[in-house]
Amino acid sequence: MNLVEAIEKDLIIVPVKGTDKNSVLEELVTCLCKVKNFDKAEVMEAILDREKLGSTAIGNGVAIPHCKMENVKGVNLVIGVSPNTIDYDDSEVRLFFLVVANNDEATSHVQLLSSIARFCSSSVLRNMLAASKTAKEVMLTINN
Amino acid sequence: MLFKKILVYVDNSESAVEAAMYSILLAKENKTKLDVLYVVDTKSVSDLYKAHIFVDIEKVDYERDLEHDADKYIRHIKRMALKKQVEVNTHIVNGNAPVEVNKYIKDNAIDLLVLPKVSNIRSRREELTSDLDRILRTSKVPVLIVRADEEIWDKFDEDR
Repeated sequence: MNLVEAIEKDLIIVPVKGTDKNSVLEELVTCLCKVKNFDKAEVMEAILDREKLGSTAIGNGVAIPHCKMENVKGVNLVIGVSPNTIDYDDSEVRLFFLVVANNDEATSHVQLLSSIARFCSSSVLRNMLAASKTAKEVMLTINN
Repeated sequence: MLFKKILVYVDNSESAVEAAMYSILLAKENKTKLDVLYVVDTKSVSDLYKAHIFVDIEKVDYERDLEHDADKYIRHIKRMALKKQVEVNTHIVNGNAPVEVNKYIKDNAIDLLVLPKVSNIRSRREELTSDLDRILRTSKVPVLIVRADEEIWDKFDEDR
């Protein structure tokens, strides 16, 4: 599974309204759980447990909060674009890729994380994504 | 006999199962040896670790999960081959799929490579990094691509 295959218009938040790390994570998780009908408290707990192991901010204005857990189906992606930089464990982040996968989807999970990392290695694509004003613009940048 | 040793490359997709089914039927029909190769993508895990997306404990954890996925698929293919009384040599290796497939072909005198279907082009960027695409383009032996088709399932069920 790659970024193009994982992206869904209803799972793109532009602009992100949260103003700090926790409120952005909650916004992304809320979006996912509303669309996919997952248990919000469980997903939030799994994401925060992973954050305790180490920051998921990877530099260049990007964070990839992720977790694997029991009670979700498949591999799920929420993309958030913030108009302002968010302080995320002492990193400044504008692009968020939340990945939540079922425990049994390791291969697809790793494939998606790799695809996101490849995409974010391009400063041109990062800048285009950060300049997006709508979910449609995000889709166009990623599908291009 | 045109092909003496067939290799089918499988990953974690349903298309790979279909490619394996087709290969099993092909090997049976042609009385040919069939090898099955699954590459556990440890390179991607290492890259994610180097990019600080995975922490130490995750690297170990995900590598174990990927190996578990590989075992699951290979066991399934072995059961399918047994049903058709076709002997298969199954191999699970770690690394980068295009590199490992080409190495296997060379080391084992494979003369036909069977691949799962290559996905429709939705993004040129993703196509450039697709393992299947790279295997297809770099193979030194003829390649047969199995298109996902219900007929394969019907044929597999009826051919007893």
